[in-house]
Amino acid sequence: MALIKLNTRSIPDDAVTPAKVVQEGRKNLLINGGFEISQRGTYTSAASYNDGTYLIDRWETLRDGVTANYQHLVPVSGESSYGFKLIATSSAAGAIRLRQRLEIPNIYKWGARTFTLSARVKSNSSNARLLMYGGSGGGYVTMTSDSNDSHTGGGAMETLTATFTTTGSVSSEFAAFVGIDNARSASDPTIASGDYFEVYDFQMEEGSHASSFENRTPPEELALCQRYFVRVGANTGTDYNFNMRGINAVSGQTFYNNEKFPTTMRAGPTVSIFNTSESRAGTPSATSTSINGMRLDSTCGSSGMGYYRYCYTADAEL
Amino acid sequence: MIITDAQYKFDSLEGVNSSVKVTIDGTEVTVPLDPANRHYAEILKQVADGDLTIADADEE
Repeated sequence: MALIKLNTRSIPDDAVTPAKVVQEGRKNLLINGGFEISQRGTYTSAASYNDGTYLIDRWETLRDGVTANYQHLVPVSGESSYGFKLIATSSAAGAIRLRQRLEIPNIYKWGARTFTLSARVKSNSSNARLLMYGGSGGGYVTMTSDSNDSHTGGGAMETLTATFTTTGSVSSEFAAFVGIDNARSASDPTIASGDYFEVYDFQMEEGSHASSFENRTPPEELALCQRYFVRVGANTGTDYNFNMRGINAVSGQTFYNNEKFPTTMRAGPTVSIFNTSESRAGTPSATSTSINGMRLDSTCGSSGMGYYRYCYTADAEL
Repeated sequence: MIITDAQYKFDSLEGVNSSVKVTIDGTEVTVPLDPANRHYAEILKQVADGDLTIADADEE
């Protein structure tokens, strides 16, 4: 049988064929674009947030000028994925947004390439839109096709899309946004209390056309998220005992224990140790951390068989 | 990001400061001396701006 080599890049984006579909691979460059993974907690009840807070994995919640609430939305009939909602609780000129920063080295390798953002959005504001930050020299990227990048404000579910081309010289931040904001303008729009947006199926893919949302399995998505954030253990239940170390304690002596992270992290992470308990051992403390793991030190208070147990988070977000 | 109570942690095995113990938004955490870590980058910025001081590590 003759082997036919096919250069799929020569196929126009709007002439999708099975051959091209097969070679698309992992097309969504955003992680947790389906808003399913939430290691930090359960956020299904509306609550206020501070600017620059990470709640759902990989998404930073931002607000400027106004106060706002967030809410994690669970799938409902007719929706293919989880969603996330931000709603203003005061009125002023400002912005409420979600941001996902992408690791820049990969973008540099790509050079001048065309990408398309897409998301399904509900909103009562005509300033709800998709944005991309990180043009050469900084600022929002100028979209090459943005006729459908903002919501009508009518409250119905709408699919928003926007296409842009990188210059090969990206600023220090390269990030996808969805939110109520002015398009590439220095001035914020006027936001009224009660203005909101909901976002589902946020995708960034190569090419000039938005395709169907890539639904990845939860374990695959979780593994991608854990390069940036890991939580091991909960406050109650069996997870509480997951990280237990039994030791033959010697009063005044320090025990060293290595904890390996589930995957190599983007950078040495910020570590929080919580929900600890111990007998004879001292409260464990993360003295040294790296992209691969951390070393916990525990100085014993008395001698004999003892233990300590703990939960932890490791944060290497951009 | 509200950062307070910063203090170096001394790694007695390696004989060097290995991280910073610090309170960020009310939670005590350990931040590695990695410029790619966003918290450490912010700590360095606040130190350079004169808004934060990192105390010496406790003596071993």
